[in-house]
Amino acid sequence: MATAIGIAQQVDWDVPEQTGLWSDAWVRFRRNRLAVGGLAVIIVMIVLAIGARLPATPGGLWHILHITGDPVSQDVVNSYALPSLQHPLGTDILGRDQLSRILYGASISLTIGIVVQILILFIGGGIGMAAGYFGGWVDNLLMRFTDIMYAFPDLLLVLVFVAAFGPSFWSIFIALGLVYWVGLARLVRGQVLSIKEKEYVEAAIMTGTAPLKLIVKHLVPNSLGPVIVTLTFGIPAAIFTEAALSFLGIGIRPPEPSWGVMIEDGYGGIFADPRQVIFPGIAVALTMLSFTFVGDGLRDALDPRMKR
Amino acid sequence: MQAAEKAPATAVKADPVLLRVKNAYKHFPISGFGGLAVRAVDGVDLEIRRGETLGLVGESGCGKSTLARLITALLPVTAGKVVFDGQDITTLKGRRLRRIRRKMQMIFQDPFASLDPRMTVGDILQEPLDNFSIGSVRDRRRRVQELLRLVGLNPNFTNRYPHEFSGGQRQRIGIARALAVNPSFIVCDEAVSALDVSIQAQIINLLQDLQNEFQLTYLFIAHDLAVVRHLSDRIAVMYLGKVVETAGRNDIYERPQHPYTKALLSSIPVPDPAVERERAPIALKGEIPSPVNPPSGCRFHPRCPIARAPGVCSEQEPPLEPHGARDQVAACHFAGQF
Repeated sequence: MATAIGIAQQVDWDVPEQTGLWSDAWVRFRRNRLAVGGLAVIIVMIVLAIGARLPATPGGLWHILHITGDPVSQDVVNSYALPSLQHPLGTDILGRDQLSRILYGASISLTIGIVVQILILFIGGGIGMAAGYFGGWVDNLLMRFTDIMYAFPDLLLVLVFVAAFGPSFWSIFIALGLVYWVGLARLVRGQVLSIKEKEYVEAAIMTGTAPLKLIVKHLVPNSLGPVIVTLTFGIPAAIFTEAALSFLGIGIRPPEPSWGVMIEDGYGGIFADPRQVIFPGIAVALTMLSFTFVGDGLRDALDPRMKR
Repeated sequence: MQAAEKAPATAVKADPVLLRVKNAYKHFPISGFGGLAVRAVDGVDLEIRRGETLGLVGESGCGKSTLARLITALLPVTAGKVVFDGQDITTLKGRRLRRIRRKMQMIFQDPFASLDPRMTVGDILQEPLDNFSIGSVRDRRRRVQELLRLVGLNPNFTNRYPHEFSGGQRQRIGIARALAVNPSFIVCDEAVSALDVSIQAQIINLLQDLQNEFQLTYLFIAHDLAVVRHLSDRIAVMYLGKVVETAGRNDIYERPQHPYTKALLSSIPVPDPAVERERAPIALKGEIPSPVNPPSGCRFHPRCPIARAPGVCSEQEPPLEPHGARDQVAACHFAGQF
């Protein structure tokens, strides 16, 4: 610092490239090994999930790797088979290949986990942001509506929505998104209320920042930390809610596998063959762990005060 | 209507007063208490002249910062007017209000809270330039560097974050931000109160240099008269939401007319130990009354050493009237009689 003034005198105008929060955040994120590892796991899972959906042409890559048997074809004679070369994770009660069911189910469970969180982010984040930012009667109206939503039993509300939209793959997402945004709305509102009172927000208004830009450049980046954490924990919650819906007969229709459904199915015979629960359970745990690491990494990366 | 608006606009150029606060009120309602309100600013009249520094002093909680936010239109007034450069800014909204911000800026009290922790210094300083689309992107980058140099910081600090700086450096960044759009008027809301004494002096000198260089007008808010004396041309003293005395710097220090001003002045320590020993600070009785329910008549009367209460002081509110020197006004029934 002592030489700061000295340097100031002989400044040359070819200045370092100006960086911002997001490019700096990426640099910080890459330094976080756990977060990068988690991101890698997620990407691998997404690739495998897509691969499991591709038609397994004989002699094709997926076929050779044995990771896409048919997730629905039954082989009842071979039920509860131990892991073998043909069935690396064994088979279930109907003799279906567990590995291919897990990989096939990944596409459903991951999509539900991620898409529902994105929906929650937009609905809950938007409502919370509007309530916190505008305050007054807008806040009152939105928050009383939120309270009403909060008062309903979650699962019942999901049932109502699914019934209203008709059971389909997408109506489950929309129903889950429409029900589970409440917590995030409250969180975001609280964040915005506290950030709004900060002097730097006043300073931004004073320098002529328009409302929309104020929200995008100041309120959103500063309230993102807890939001990311909430969303990452919401992913496994959504995966299991989907399982509950399947159990009630309005989720994914059997024989299509999803992780939640597999755990529900295997739960009955947990003492007979715990592998039925353990393998899809590991898949869910791995997913959650990866998202948690990525979420933590993102949160830290978006805070310039964190030094690694 | 058009012509009527044009005519004063030309007259304004000759107007030596840049900003007029006319009978401004700001009451914060206390919800659930049936019409009760904190009367933070309760009928303030103030004039700030072009090129001068007006010092505004008063105890904590007397409404200085609220008045600053009324003047800068960060808060809406409950009643009254704030006329800046011939324009009543209390009625402006949206884009038209933002346009005023190009001429009027503010330096904030807390250098740790007034810079967005998630923005680089370059982004912070570029924000006002972006908002008013000043110059090309390249021009703006240069301007940011120029601003940093202007306030005595290394121009290559653009990619650093506020937490990497000390309090004094952060306050310099705050000053650079206020200067970015070349304003004519800057409100310094206790801009040095949060800083060490040695840093205070640096920042005050910087503010003075900048005033000379850019012909700035300052409203300099502080809670002690010692800091203000060095910087101000005129000084206004606030007590419980009202201005009780305004005068030229020397007049107010030599011949204060309001007993509250006198009490404030007597609390300033004197560097000379001999004089300091003789100094008899006037200790005010009691605490500052609640701004929810200010005292009747003169609001200072319960603490005033010369008040006649019960009597005129507790019954009639004294108006701001000329007393003492030229250009000196005080709101006291017995101004100067102590």
